[in-house]
Amino acid sequence: MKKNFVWYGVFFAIAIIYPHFVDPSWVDIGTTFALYSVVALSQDIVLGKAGMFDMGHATFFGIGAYTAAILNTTYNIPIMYTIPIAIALSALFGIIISWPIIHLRGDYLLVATIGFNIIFYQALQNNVFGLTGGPNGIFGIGTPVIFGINIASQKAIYYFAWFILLITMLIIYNIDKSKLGRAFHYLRESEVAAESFGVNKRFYKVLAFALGAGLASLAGVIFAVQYAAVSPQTFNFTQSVLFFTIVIVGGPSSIPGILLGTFVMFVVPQFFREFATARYFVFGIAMILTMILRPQGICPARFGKLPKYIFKES
Amino acid sequence: MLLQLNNVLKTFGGIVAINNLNFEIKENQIVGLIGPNGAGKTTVFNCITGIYKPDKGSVYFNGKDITGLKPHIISKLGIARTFQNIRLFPSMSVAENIMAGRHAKCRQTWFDSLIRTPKYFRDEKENWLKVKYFIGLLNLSEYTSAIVGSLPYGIQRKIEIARALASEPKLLILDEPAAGLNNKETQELVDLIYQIKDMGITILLIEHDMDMMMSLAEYIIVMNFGEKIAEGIPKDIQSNPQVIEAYLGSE
Repeated sequence: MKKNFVWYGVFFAIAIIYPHFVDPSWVDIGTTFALYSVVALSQDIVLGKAGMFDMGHATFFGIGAYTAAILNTTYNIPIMYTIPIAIALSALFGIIISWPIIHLRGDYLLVATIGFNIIFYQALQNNVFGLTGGPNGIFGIGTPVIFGINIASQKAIYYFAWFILLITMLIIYNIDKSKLGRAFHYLRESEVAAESFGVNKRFYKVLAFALGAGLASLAGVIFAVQYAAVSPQTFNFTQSVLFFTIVIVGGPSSIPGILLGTFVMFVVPQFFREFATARYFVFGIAMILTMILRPQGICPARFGKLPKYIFKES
Repeated sequence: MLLQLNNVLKTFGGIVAINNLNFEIKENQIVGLIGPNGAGKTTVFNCITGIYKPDKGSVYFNGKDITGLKPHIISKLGIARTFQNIRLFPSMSVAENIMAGRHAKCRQTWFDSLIRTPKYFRDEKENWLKVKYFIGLLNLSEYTSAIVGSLPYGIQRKIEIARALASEPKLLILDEPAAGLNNKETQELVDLIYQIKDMGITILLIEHDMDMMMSLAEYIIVMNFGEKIAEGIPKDIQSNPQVIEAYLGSE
């Protein structure tokens, strides 16, 4: 466990010095990496921990981005205030969306969540209620101001995104090491056994969606700030596939696995940018190779890390 | 009366799995449920624990009507079980599996879990120590952090019982606990069941090992084709012509 903390220390130390050594386009990639990691970690609550095939997670990412964009540009609400609103709204959506489909198994749930993602995308495209700006999206989103400091520069937004990633990782770590995370894991491993020992299936499954949706939405707000704009394409079904694959390729329910997954699926293709869209070959090849060579993910979850006092002779 | 089944009927698409079943279980007894394959024994267990909802009739536990309640609610009232085909959480460790039994006893809310309130720390420690106690009770200490899926069958059976005991139930339901165990393991199991009884827990078990059942159970209920054909103390059951016929066939 101590060794893990050293690794995380190194990881964040590199993240802190990184933007001073690369050109601006790579700073942007670093920011998006942090935000995509947050979304992937939030997807993992539903997919990796609770074992539900949610293939529409970009919906919640989008709800966050659009909530911030609409509230900020149309109603002039400062970005910082839009954050709690976006989280609450998305979590509420997660509850409403998942409630009627929560009993569906595996592939059935997957298809239903794709359906929600398509409806969401079409709603954005068609400028529902005249709020979403149609296919062009919304421009001119402001920047957050914290304690009088305006987070406006590219580097400031980068650090803000990484701070959000740190908070997310702490939350995920806490989930893993608690009754909450164990209940998710029990449900994934055997629903009948979990229920027979008092796990309220519906409550925990809906809660997984609510938490996942809330966290994805938080990332969405910062994503809207990073590009000062939002458009529907960023939140379509293909994006959901990306988040889904990050979890499966990286390692379900594993924080290092998901960070690695985001790196492989999002950052690595950027190295091949001169090949234009051909760079997505990497994306496809990584998916196929991992599933053949390491079907449990690059860095799968490890169980059995128990509190020390359990081993002490008494 | 700890458990009471009144005229329970359960059908699956026209096939009657349990027909008008009545029986009662007194507190702190070891009760056996026997019958040929397909007699509906496991269906009875599933109706008691809420996995199935009876079509007709009622189930009372500790004076409370539990008919048709969800399994997680019935579990909280004090019924724990093991499964005929082991249902553990295979990729998790032994301790984490047994911790499942503590789920209903853990007092932390999901919010305590998320932000680690003082209540979270107290609750975790209290329940992990309980887990440790039950690991010790079943001599599983050497496997504490081992991943369950890779352990031998006999050990997995023990883990299932440990998980059930960890929930500190009033009634423990064992579905063929000796299946797949060797003689030595079966003897250990018999000793364990007596030990559990001494803890004040009532035990209801299905078992095919007739010798074990006759020596272990204080009271036996016999089923065939979804109906109760006999009940009584082992000595009477052994000489009951209907039971002999069900098991050996009529001449």
